[in-house]
Amino acid sequence: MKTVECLLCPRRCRLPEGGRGDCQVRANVSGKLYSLVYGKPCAVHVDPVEKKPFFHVLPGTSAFSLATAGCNLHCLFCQNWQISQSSPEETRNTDLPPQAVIDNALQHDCRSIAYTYSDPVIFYEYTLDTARLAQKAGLLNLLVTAAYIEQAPLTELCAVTQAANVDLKGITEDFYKKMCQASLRPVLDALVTMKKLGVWLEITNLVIPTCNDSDEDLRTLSRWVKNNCGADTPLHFSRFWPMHKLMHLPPTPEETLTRAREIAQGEGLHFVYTGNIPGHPGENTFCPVCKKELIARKRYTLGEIHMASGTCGFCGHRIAGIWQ
Amino acid sequence: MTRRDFIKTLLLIAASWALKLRHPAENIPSSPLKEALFYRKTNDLAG
Repeated sequence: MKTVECLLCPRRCRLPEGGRGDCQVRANVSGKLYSLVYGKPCAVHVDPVEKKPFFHVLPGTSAFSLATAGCNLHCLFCQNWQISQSSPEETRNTDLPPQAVIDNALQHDCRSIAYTYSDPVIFYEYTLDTARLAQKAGLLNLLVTAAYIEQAPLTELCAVTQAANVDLKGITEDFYKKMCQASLRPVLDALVTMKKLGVWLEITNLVIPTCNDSDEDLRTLSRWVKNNCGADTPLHFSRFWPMHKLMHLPPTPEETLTRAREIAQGEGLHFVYTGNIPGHPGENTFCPVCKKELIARKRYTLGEIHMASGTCGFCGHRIAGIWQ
Repeated sequence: MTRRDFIKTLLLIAASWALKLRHPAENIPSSPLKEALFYRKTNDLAG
């Protein structure tokens, strides 16, 4: 029996001949492991970079965004479950080899490529090859990921990645086990590695009523981000919408997100945002020194900007991020 | 379960089965497969 062990993510799937990994997109064919989704995205869009969300990366620009079927997590609350929990046979895929991604991105005046929607970890080879070409073409590579990945492949990917928005889904092992069929430790390790390797980090936490919305959870998560990634790391608290297997829960109340933001600010984080509530003050960027509003946002649209070359337009404080 | 409910259930099962069968492997690689990075061959001999 020609069994192979996939070393890409902490699941370490062992695949018998003809078998597939837990992600549904890696298969053992005659004793070799193959990606079934290389150059076969099922979702391709030109999105505002704010949608990812990246608030400190080239604001107001477009990101050429793509995803394939599959995922190595199985979150009960997945907001993109239609593609993430599907095999490549169940999605409508396009032929888009790496060079065609670059050509399309340039054609649509995008400044970056976002590997997003499902998770770039499971379309690793496609992401890596595309990112190498993108870098040569002067485009930024943005990962939107749960960061459930082993250290060796992560290190290689970080060499061509400029920024990542990591979905930190909770801050307890219990949450990851029950809600995502995964574990927390590898995600925290991945975040530390990305930071160490110079990838610009933004972190998103989907706040789900009764699941991860206690003061203690929010405080522990915020404290971990500050201590391990730094006070300048943007933290986005995002509103949950009843989806997939959590249809019985209500949407996150606005007050919960306001409370989450206050807790994180109280822990010393400089840039704490709220997501999926258009018009909330938590959509805007404020200078951590003079407290004035630097970037106004409403959903994915920018309002007034008071920044010059990455610094506060009022007091001159340098604002962390990738601004040009 | 009434006879009517039983037939309804049977029909539902048949419909969902038909829907699954409708998905051919047509979307799967028309181009050559890409060998993955980061894996190893294992020796799974028992005993």
